Amino acid sequence: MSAKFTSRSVLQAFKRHVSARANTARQESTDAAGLQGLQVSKLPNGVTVASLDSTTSPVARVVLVANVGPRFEESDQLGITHCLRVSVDQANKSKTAFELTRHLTQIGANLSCTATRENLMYSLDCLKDNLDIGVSCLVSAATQQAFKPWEIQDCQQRIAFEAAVVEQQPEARLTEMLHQVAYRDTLGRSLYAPSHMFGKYSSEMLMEYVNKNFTAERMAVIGLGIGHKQLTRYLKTMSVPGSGSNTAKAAKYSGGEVRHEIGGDTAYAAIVTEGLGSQNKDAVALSVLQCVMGCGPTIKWSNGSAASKIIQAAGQATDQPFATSCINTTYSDSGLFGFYAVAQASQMGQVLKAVLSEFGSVTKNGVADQDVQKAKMQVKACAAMMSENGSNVIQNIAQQLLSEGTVQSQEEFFRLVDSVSKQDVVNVAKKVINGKPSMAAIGNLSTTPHLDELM
Amino acid sequence: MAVAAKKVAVTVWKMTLAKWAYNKSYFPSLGMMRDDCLYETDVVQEAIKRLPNNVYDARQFRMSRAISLSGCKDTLPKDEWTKLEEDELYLQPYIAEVERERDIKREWNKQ
Repeated sequence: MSAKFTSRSVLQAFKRHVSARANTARQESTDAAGLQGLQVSKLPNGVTVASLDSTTSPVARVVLVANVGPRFEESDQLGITHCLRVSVDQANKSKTAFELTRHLTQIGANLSCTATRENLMYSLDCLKDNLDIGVSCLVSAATQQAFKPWEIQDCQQRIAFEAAVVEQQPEARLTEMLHQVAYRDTLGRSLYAPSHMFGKYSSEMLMEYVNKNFTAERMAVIGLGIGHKQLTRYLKTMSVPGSGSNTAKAAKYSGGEVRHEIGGDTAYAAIVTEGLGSQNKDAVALSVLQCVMGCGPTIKWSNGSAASKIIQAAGQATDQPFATSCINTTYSDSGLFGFYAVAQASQMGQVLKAVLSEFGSVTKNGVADQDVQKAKMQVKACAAMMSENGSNVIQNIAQQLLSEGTVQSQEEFFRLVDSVSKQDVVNVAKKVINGKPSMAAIGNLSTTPHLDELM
Repeated sequence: MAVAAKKVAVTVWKMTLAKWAYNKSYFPSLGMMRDDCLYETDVVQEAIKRLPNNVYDARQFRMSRAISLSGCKDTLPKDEWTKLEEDELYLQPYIAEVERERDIKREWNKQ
């Protein structure tokens, strides 16, 4: 569980606004690692296209990303992103659902749709020889949705099923509750549809949402393992469903507390304050701070107290099983920074108090040099290991292109991490940790203190 | 999904003949349309499943009114009969789509 938080949070920290550059500039990086040869340009219809060719792998990946996550939902459209995501395999204007599936299986490709709170990513993995069919399937599924009424009705069952699966996972519910209490609307909107909306999504509603939000400046297509000319040729006939500009509502952090008692043996809680957006110049220092506090065991099956300060602190407060990790979630204009803890129901109070005092001591007493050094190495190692995987690389490029308009290479990122000093970490700690807290708790909350009892 | 009336250039006498033949058919006197009377094959049944709710409800109303009239061996008054100009082939687009999907499936499964 903690490993998941590490990788997601450090990946978020990859996004950094380095300097303002023209979006249409053809960018060729000569760095040794990462993005050598990344080319970015704009199609005639206004969509940004980026490609990174590679000759080593026979697999090509293409991702069409749209800045259309749950944060853009209005209060009468809750869960519409969930419905959009689930309807990716339905009939569109150029292919029936059967044709789409058959084309993809014929070329051995994978087409999937992933939603983050800010973006919707349609990803295609296929062999380089089959890209013409693959990209046409991808573009038709992502931009030419037909939303046939009878197929949308079939989707609702899938939505209900996914929501029921999430209901069974306290950790997933905890994340949704945490965001809801921290942001209320925009970033507080859940990734999953609420039960009162099952069966209520109509074809007109979805079509209207797509036409309003899928605009050219909020969409980008990224190809990995495919040449730039080739990719732009495949995208020549792409049409953008939306028009007009739609400025995103700024995410406003409110803070607060929410608890949900469901019984059982364990309690799950997360306490955060407002972190930094990916464009903030201190975002990298915040990632270093996250690794200073501890992101879970670095050696499999160990208890992690050597690697993580908060695990060490919580381990001294209880001798029963627990898990705790520092959270650093970064969005384009805001973030959450804090920790997450799971413990036996009777031990939760002690665990939370111990971890909180560890955070408090960082603001009062600062951090040790060697902790900062260790954390910097961990951040760099984590980023490097994530970039081993093609799908991580392409998702990272996609999110950076949409939120910043430029893509930062690994070497630039490493330079930024190296330039973080101990004072930077302490300053960002003081700025972030002393903010207004939000708390979410679920499970058996018999001994879990309330936020005012903890602070 | 309203069907645009197919405007075919026909001579006047053809139109008169068409109207006479239409009115001689039993179903307009019961207030039904041509698509209400289609024999329900698999294709037609699937197409009916895809009708929007209001069109489906109107179809059901016409059919139940016709059944009750025919049970009394009665018809509607002459001015309430369905007229050829008002008769809408509402089901044909859905039938065409279902047939097209089946053709595509058949083509793929041939290989």
